[in-house]
Amino acid sequence: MKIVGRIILFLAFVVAIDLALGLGLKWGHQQVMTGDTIGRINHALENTDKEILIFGTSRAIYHIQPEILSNKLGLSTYNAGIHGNGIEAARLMQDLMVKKGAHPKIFILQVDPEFAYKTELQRTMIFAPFIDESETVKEILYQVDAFMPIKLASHTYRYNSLALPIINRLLTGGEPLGDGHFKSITKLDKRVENAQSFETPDLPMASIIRQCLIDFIELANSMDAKVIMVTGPIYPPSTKPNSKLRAEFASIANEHGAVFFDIHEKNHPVFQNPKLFSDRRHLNMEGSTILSRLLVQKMVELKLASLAE
Amino acid sequence: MIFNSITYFIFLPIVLLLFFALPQKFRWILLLCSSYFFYGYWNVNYLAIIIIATAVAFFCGKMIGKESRRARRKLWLYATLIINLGILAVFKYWDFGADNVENVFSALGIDWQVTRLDVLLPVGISFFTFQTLSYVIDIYRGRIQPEGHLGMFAVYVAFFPQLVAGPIERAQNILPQLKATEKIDIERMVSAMQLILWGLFKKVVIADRVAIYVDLIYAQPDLHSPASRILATYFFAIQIYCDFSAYSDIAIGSAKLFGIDLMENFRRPYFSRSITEFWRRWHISLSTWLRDYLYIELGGNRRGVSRTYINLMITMLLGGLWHGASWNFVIWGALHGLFLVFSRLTLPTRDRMVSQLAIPAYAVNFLRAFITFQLVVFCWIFFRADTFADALTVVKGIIEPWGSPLVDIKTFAHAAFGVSVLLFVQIIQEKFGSFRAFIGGFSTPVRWVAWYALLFAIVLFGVVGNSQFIYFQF
Repeated sequence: MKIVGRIILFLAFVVAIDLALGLGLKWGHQQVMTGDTIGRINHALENTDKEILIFGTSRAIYHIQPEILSNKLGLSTYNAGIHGNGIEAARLMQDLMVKKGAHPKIFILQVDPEFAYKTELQRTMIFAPFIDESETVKEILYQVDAFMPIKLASHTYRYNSLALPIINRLLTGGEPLGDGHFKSITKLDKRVENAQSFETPDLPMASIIRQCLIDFIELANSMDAKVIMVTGPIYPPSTKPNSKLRAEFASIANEHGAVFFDIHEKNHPVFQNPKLFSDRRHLNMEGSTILSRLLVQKMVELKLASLAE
Repeated sequence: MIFNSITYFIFLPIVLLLFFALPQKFRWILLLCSSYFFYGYWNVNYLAIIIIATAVAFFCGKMIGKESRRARRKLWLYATLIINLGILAVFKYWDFGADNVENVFSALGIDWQVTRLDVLLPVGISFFTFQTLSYVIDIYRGRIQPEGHLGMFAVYVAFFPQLVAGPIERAQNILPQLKATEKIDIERMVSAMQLILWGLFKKVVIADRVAIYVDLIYAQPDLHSPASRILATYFFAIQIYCDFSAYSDIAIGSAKLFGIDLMENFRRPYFSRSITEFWRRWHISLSTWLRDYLYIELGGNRRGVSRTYINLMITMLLGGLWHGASWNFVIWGALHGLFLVFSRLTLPTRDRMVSQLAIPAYAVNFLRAFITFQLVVFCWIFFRADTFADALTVVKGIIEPWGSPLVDIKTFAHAAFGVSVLLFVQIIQEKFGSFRAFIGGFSTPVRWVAWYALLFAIVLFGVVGNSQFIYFQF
């Protein structure tokens, strides 16, 4: 009996510590409003009152300037892109923002046809702290691996790999995120200018990405909001932009009433200029200004918005 | 099935519960079935290999035991060596040999295509092959009697905790323990679980974390600065130690739950003060195997100084090749062999210098440990690099301007945390013999806090995902 008692006591302590640590980390997590990952999510959740919301990867963060959209269209804009995450994360971010009261007129979703053939669901684990707040988060995270429901039952595990970044941000603070756009002033490394072009296999879209994309558009449709999917250029120019995936994006947009605005270096040769890039996949301020203006032009053309007086 | 997966932590308690629920005479059946299940979880087809290797060793061992004529005994010994080493050679070295044969012929202007097997290397084949060989050689040498129970012998070869990456056990250590009646011993179980916990910490908090940086840099070393390559090499030294010693800890802990003591495989090798000492502390089960069945068989140090050095070189070269079918592993083994020879050659001179200069012992020890560590890290370059060209790129980086390293704050912070804990524990182990004994001197709450901290460090800082152990590929 003594042994059984010790085991029960041990397990009770495990549960209690797990809950206490989880609560402490939750508090810490909520305080973080700067930085590349946690801060971006929390900061976006504080900006749910905007009329245009931008989602996507780091390319969204670098490429689309909310300031230009706001000034030209007279619509308040926020960039809720997340570094290193794709459409799956955009879907989760959109869901959390809508649950927090976001009701924008336009959702801009930056998409990467170069990578949509494979999912990196593991990366969506940054949303684990929100598992109790959204069924969508739960549904997607549970697909990361077969044992995820067991792992995420632990309140501490939800902050796996996040504890040190939380402590770091709480202690050191960081640059305010403003409107969510990253103003890159760097120029492309000379070595990259002469590098080989980036090619991806011509494969179909990963099924989970496809589903997340459709769900993203459908949620917007249910709110009478419009979705604009926008791609972006890369450098050195691709010799064969992934046509199968681009066609798939266009087809989904067509079927579900969204707009697919395909901007790449072939159909917009202005982006064949290396001076517009800060690295192979990200535009600098000069490049993002051009891309943002193109986006405004397209939105006006499609009568999704009109130019401000 | 890998140790750092939830599957294993479901599998282990089930087997353990059944083990203690069964009478002693049936336990070997459970251990054999669970071990084959564990192995077949990767690829069920490869079970055939382990069964053949077991049957060959069992049968040949029995024949050697029966025979009194030396020539016949030798014949059965050679039969085992040819069949079991043959299986290893075919699966592990065929394609490598084919590449080299083609290269030689190509250099001679002859275009000869050798058929490739192109099969996935069966997990742990080098480990269980060595176990079967040591068993038969020991019978041949008259050190042990052949095992009469095929099932027990099969458990010795396939015992799941040490099946895929050792420790490479000897029959005389395992078989008597398998036959002994084991009762539930709580203290033993607690200590086993603590060892498993410590192993998991080293694997998922340290090894897998630094692996992110190592893999990034070593994927294309020429794209990164020499400083990044050097830093990645030091990180690899940490990674491989934590990865492999973690596997051994989890293996030893898991076996301990069943009442079986496996041999120690690592004894804080980076504290070694010479390469000779390093090999007494690193992968002990392999180094002692190579010593007992290869180095001594070649004559060891009984045939003069130059022959001793040749024997050392042969042993280390084959030890390198044992790790993998690649010239990089051969170079890694050769470098260790050279350092061992050099260390022996210069030892008297170095000792004389130290006594003449009257350098304090602690300074000498520190300096020796420091230099030994640098030499070991240098050798790891060849072990880790995917190709010889990549290894040369990293080596050349040492003499080029280093530049600044690629800094990944998150990985660095996690690595710094993990390595600090590792260093703290290892210093205590070096001083007190065991961390458990050290912490045992504290009150219950302090002890509990320490183990809970370890548990939650794994939950919080461990790398998510079931990454393989490095030594599985060997």
